[in-house]
Amino acid sequence: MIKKTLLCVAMLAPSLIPQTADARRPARPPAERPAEFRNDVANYLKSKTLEFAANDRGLAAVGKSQNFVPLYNLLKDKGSFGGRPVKGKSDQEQAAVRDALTKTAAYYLAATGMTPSEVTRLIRNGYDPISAVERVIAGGSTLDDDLAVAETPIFGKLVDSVASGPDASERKLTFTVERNVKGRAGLTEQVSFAVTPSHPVGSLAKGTSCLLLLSDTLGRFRAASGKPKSSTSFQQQLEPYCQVGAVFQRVSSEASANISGTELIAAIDKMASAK
Amino acid sequence: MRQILQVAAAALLLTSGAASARDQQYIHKLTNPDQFYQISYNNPYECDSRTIQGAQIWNDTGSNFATFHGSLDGVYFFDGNIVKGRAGTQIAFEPVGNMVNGATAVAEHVPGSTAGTTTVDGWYIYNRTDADIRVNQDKWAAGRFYCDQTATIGNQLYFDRVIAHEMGHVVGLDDRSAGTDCLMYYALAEKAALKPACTAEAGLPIRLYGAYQP
Repeated sequence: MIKKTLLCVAMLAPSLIPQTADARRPARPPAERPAEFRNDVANYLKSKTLEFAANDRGLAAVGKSQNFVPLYNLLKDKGSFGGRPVKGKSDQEQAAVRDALTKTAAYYLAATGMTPSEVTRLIRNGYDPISAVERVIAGGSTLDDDLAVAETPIFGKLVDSVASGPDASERKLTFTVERNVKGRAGLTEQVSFAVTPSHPVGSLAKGTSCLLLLSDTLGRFRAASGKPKSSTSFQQQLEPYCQVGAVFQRVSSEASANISGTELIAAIDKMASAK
Repeated sequence: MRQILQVAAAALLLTSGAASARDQQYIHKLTNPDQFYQISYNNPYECDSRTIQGAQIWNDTGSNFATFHGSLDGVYFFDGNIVKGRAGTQIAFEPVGNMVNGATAVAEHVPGSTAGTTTVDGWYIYNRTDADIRVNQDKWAAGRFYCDQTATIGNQLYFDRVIAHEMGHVVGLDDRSAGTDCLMYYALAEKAALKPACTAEAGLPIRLYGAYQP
């Protein structure tokens, strides 16, 4: 799947690689890229142009195109990514990277079911989804951020975890639905989603309690835009918060702060009571 | 739900944490004798040296699994302990919307095709012929990764350690829920510099691939 998305990756012919039986053989001369592949910002912006074109197709396919521009304008008006140490050697490059990140955030919101009216509703209830999505994209999001951005937050307990997918290339997790935080219709008993088999959430013990942050719009969007997706209809929109000993932690490759059970309940109650 | 959490809180000392059932065991074994590892050109150039350092950390665990980087005819690659070559592991950047594990994911490891199953140390594992690493490129653009070795480290993630962790999954190792100094500890802290594999995880590639024989 990933190989289809790579830019400018040359294929190695088997005959090009020298044979040796020594696993600790001395290093060949350091590899150097061709000069045309060394401009990081230009490469990034070029890849984003291709990505955004695919995103437009995906949003159209799931009927969410109309939400992109209003969401982008909200992000732009807020000065999103303005305080970040974004890449770029000149003001012009940095402005282009910030704009690409802003569009990335707008596409992400639209692809996960967010609408301008939902943004208004969340703001009315004390959330700031526009600032939240910047932290989701760039790093440093909080529990409230994640709850604001997530399409379908679910609290439940892990009841099943099995290898699944083509060639057992993913791990399918099934949770009880003990709290449907945003009240999504049709989710009353269980919910399943899949992750890559090495993701730490796949190592959870059965019975572990988690706050899941899922989206099914994202799965349809990914399928329509040719992006990697898991085999389940619900995708993991954001990494979950699960019980680890005395606290809840985001089960992620990036360390996060501990959250007490009381804090988690308060955050869920706040979101569930938002009108 | 409040009651559920209170009950859970009362039983906290009896729980073993997030990762226990498969903790620090194996998720697969690479069996493709033609494996090689390739850095995609869509990875930032400024991250290349840290990518190489992170991948090569597994050369020092004493096993027959080793990585190597070089170039042939302008193609930039890693290869494994057994050379030749075909489509193998690629380390590539992907936009945040492509991260299957969620937008907050820094990186993820995607196993390739399954060749069969076997048992190592009594564990059921999948044989794999290739595997990929996806790194979140928007986090790079937003300054989340520390790649540029001439820059001052801020509240960033050392890129070589991110790659070392994901390459550990490529080798076949699962996450660890204990041992914060180990490369396979499941969560990566900011400013956590690259370190050699800890004693516990250094032994695991040997059990999968055998000890290095010069």
